[in-house]
Amino acid sequence: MLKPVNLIAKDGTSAYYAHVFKSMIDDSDLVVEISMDEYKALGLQGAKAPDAPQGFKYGFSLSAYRYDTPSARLEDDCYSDEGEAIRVFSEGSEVFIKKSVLAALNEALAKT
Amino acid sequence: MAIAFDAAASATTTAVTSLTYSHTCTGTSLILIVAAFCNQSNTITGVTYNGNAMTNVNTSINSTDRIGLYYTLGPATGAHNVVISISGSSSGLSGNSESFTGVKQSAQPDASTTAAQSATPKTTSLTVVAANSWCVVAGRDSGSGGTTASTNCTDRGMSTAQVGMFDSGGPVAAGSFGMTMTSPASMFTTMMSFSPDSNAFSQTVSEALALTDAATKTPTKVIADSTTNTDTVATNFVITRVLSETLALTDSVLRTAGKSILETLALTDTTARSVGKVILDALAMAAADVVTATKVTNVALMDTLNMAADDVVATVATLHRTISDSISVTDSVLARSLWAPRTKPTSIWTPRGK
Repeated sequence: MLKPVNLIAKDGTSAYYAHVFKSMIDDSDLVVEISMDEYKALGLQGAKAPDAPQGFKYGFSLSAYRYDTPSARLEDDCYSDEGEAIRVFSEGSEVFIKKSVLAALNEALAKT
Repeated sequence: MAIAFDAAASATTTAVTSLTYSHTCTGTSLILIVAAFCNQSNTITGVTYNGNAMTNVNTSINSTDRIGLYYTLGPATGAHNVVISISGSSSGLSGNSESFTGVKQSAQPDASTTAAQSATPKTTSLTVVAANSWCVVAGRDSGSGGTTASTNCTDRGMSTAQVGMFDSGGPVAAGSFGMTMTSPASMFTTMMSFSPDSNAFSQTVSEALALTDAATKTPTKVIADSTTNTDTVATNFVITRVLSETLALTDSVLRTAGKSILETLALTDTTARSVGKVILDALAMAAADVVTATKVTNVALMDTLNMAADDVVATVATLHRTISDSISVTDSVLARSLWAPRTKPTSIWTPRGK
C-alpha cells in the first residue's frame, strides 16, 4: 500500500540539498543536509569538495524536491500527487506517471 | 605528446534535480568529457566543471532515457566539481567523466555520433578523421542488466547496472572505428573521437632530444634583454650597482661594509675604526658630540648601578675580556678592545671631580 506524501518545494530555498559521503568500510551513505547556498557554492569556480567526516569519503552532492517526510525525500512506497502527474517512489526507483496515462491504465485494467 | 588517459570519476543517485561530484584533472593539453544520464522527460540544462560551462557534443535518447555527452578543453587542473543540472526531477541521474592529456586544444571533437542498439553485439562506429585520436562511448541499457566493455572498450570502473562509459584505451587510426558494449537489453549510445595535440608532441620531442644552440641562447638573451645589458659581466655590474644604490652607500663605505663582514671572523684595527666611523656616520654626530654623549651615558650608568668609578672600570674591563673570550679574538685585538675603555675612565672620572 502506497503512502501519500505532499510535495513541499520543487525549487528555491525550501528545496532539498545534501552532501552524500560514502563509508570507507561498507560504502554505505551518510547524508548531510545542507543549505541552498552551500550547494550553489559547489558549482563556483575554485570550489572544492566538502571535507568528509572521519571514516568517510566524499561521494556527491545533490538537489531534490522536498517532501513532508522525515528525510524530506520521497521515501520508499510513498507517492505524491503533483498536479497533472503522480510521482511514486518504490523499491529504490522514482516513477513519474501522468494522470492521463494513469487513467488509461486504470481503464485498461478494468477491462481485464 | 600522445594522448593519455588521466582520470575518471562518477556519481549516480535517484530522484534529484541536479548532481555534483568531484573530478581531478592532472597534466597538460587536457580534455574533460562528461556523460550525463537522466530520464528522457528531463532535459539537461547544463553541465559545468569548476564553474565553467561545458560544450554539448550530442544527445542520445530513447523512449525512457537520455544521454548527453559534454566536453571542455583545458579544464583547470586539480580537484574541481562537475555539476549536472536538469529540468525537473529525474528518477535517476548519473554523471561519468574521463579526462585525457595530450589533446589538441581546438577543433574538437574530431567526430561524433549517436546510435540505438538492439542487436548483439552492440557496436557504435564513427569515422575518425585525425590519426592517433582516441574515442569515448557512453551507453545506457534500457533494462536493468549490466553494461560491460567488449571490443575496443577500456573500462575505467564506471559501468553500472544500466549506464557505462568507456574509452578506446589507445590511439586509433583514421577511418571507421567501432566500440562494442554488451548488455542484455537494447541500448542507446553516444560516441566521440578527439584528436592529439600535434604541436605539443613536436615540442616535447625537440626538447627531449637536444636543444639547438639558438634555443639555448634564447633564455640567456631574454635575461640580458630584461636588464638592458649585452653581456653577463655588464649584468653583474648593474646588479652590484643597484644594490649599492638601494643601500645609499658610497663606494668606500660599500667596500668597508664588505670588509667588515670579512673581519667579523677576524677583526683588525682598521676594520674596527671603519666600523666606528660607520656608526658615527649612521648617528650623524660629530666626534665631540659622541664623547659628550658617552660621558652622560657613563654618568647615568654609574648612578644607575650605584658603583664607584674604579668598580666600573674593573667591571668594564671584565666585560671586555668576557666578550673577547666569547668571540675568540687575538691578544692584539683584545688590547685594542681594552684600549677603548681607557678613554672612558676620563669620562667616568669626570663626575668624581664635580
